[in-house]
Amino acid sequence: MARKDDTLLTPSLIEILERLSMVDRSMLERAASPGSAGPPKAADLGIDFYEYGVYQPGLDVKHVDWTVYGRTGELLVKAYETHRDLPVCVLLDMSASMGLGEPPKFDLALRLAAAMAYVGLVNYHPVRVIGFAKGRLKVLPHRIGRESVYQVLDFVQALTPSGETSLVEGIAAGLEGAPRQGGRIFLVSDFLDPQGLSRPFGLLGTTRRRLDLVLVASGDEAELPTGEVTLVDPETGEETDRTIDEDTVRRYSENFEAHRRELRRRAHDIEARLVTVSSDMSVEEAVLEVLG
Amino acid sequence: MGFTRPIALLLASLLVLVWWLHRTSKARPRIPLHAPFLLPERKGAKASGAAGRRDLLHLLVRMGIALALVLGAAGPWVRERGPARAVGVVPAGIDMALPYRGGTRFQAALDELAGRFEALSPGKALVLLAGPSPVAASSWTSWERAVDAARRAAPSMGPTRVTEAMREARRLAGDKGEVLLVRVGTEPLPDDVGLAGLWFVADRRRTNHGVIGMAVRNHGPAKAVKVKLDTLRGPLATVAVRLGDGEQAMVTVDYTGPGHTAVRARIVTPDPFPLDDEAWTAIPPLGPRRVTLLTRGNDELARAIRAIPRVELQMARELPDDPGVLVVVDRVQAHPRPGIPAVIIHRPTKPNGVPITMIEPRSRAPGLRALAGLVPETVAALPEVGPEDEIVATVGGRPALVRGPGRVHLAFDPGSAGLGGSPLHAALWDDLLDPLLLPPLDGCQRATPGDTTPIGPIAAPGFYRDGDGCYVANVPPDVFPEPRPSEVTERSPREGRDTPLTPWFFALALALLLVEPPVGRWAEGGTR
Repeated sequence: MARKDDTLLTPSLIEILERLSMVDRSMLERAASPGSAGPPKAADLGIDFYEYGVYQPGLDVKHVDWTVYGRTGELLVKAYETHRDLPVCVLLDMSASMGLGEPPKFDLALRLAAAMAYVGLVNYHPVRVIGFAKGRLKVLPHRIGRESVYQVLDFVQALTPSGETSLVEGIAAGLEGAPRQGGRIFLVSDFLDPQGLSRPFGLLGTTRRRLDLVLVASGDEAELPTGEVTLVDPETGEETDRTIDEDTVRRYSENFEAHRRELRRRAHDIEARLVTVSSDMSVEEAVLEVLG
Repeated sequence: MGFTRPIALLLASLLVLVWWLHRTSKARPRIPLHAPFLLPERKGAKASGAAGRRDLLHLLVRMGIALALVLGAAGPWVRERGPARAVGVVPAGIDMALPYRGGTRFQAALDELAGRFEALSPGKALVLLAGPSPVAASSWTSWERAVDAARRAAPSMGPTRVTEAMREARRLAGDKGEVLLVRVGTEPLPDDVGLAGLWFVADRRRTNHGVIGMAVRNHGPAKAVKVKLDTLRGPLATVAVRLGDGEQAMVTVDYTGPGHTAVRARIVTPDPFPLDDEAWTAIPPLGPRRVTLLTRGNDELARAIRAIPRVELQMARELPDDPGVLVVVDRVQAHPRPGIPAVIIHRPTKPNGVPITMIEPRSRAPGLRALAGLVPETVAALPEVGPEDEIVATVGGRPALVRGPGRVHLAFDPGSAGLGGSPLHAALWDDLLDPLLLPPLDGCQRATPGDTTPIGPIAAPGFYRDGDGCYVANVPPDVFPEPRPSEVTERSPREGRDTPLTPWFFALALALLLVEPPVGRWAEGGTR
């Protein structure tokens, strides 16, 4: 899947990416949300004041800027932003199933990975990109700064979809050698792992880093044609002659939907953000969906 | 296993077509599935590997049908195992060198034998060449090598003797071996006419006269035959003979001349078998021959010498200046000059008490056999026998008659030892003097093609002369070997039998055709 840099990141996309940052807005949102324990401690994350938020009932009053209140009469709470390195790890599923879809899921996944890495780099965060499949890991060690953009893009564009899915191997590689907390992990995959989701999400639950799960979906994933067909497993090459009837189509669709429900449930359980993008979306839309 | 129509095996390439058609008939849309693990199990489904095996079995059945049809069309056969040993007997007489179908009879016989061997497929084989005596062309080996070894041999110049060769072949083959006799054109040709013999008889009374006799044999239907006679000096006569069906005739031609030549008889009538169309014989000098007898008186001996045809005898007590062509020394001291043939009768110096003993002649010459009737009382001591001398007869183990180059020594006088007054006495002296009386040409010995002589091998009937020696070679006495094949082949060779397999292959194809539909349904059903 040879691809030029300018096809991975178009000028319009770069224009968008330049306006984005890796700031964990959710932290601020959480801090500003009712019942929150307040913004993370500066000692933990090394954050600086970022902006004021409107006080909402339930917020810890100790974050209220009483000076402002005295001057303006408004109850504002301080929001903070990190000023330390925010390690970014982009985990890209490069199993053969990612090569399916029309257009292929892997096309969008590659662009998303490149876009997320780009945003991290231009904001001077250490960026690590890992392509994974079963028994196959492609690791680009941490890179920082704009000067590393082309290295990252070269690495990403060299990735090709093949082999079986193994979320566990990819996640384990992403967590290895990284701080237990702090930073952000982007996991871009179709999450169609024959081994199931239990172990991968068990592993993800051990980290306190921000988890962004990007589900790259294809419109034809849950569909089955009826009639006599040879079903091909793209990851193992195994072929199975089947006569597909309506009942099989229905049950396959049900299984697929159950798998998606399990994915959403497990993501929620570990407080991970699950974003679904369709392979036929424009990369700009997908980026805004993920980073917006 | 072999094939009668191996070219049909090229149709085996159609198996690729069968495979392709099978694959095409099984073709289904190939749908890549994003999440095969989410596919519901099919009810009662078996492993996909089993489906693959069923499909493979279906393919094998279909290809088996095609293969059986192809093999059946190629005409397969298998051959039963041949005997452990086989001896091939091939006539190898001079007649086998005759042309036959672009080669020779010998080559054709070997070709035929190779085919017989191939059909018989023996474990080991040997080729026995049946010439004048049987000769094995090789030791026991494969039949191919045995035939190759025989091809390097050539027909003998002598006659074919099949009976003896068959006897030897049976001995070599043993109880479990097979004997194959191959006869190619060895029987008399239907239209053949040949000379069975040629000879000359000198007139005993008239000088320069004799008779040439010949036997002309007709192997075919009645016909007229012309025989042309030539001497070394030129044409002699042409004789026309009318021969009946399978008849042999004796033909004589008077000869008048000085002799001292060779005569050739040649059948000039067109004949398919020219080998026996020519014969040679010698004609001795037919003029008077003057012989000197040195004796003090021996009338018996004088009568015997005068009885020899065309001999003029002169008697003397001392060697004359012109002794003629031969000197007989009867118990007198005389030493004939070298170059003049002589017969010397030695006188016993004293009675030596040698017991009365029968003479033991070693020669089978008719006249010399008369010596067996002699009972000499005493024999003289003969000079030392030289390496070129031949002891013709002995008495009590002592040489009694020694014949050497230009000399004959007698240790007794046959005329006084029992042959006196007998016609055999003259015959004995005829035999004794005849070789000495004949000049070199007349000393030509008779030979048969194939004989090896001091002047070289005799290849064909003809007149051979080399220096002082000469040979007149006649046709072999039995150019055509006898008996016929049916009479000598007591055991017919058991040929390996070829069992055709075509019906079996077609039956297999039919059976597979009947089986194919249910197998196909079974294979298809396994994928649903």
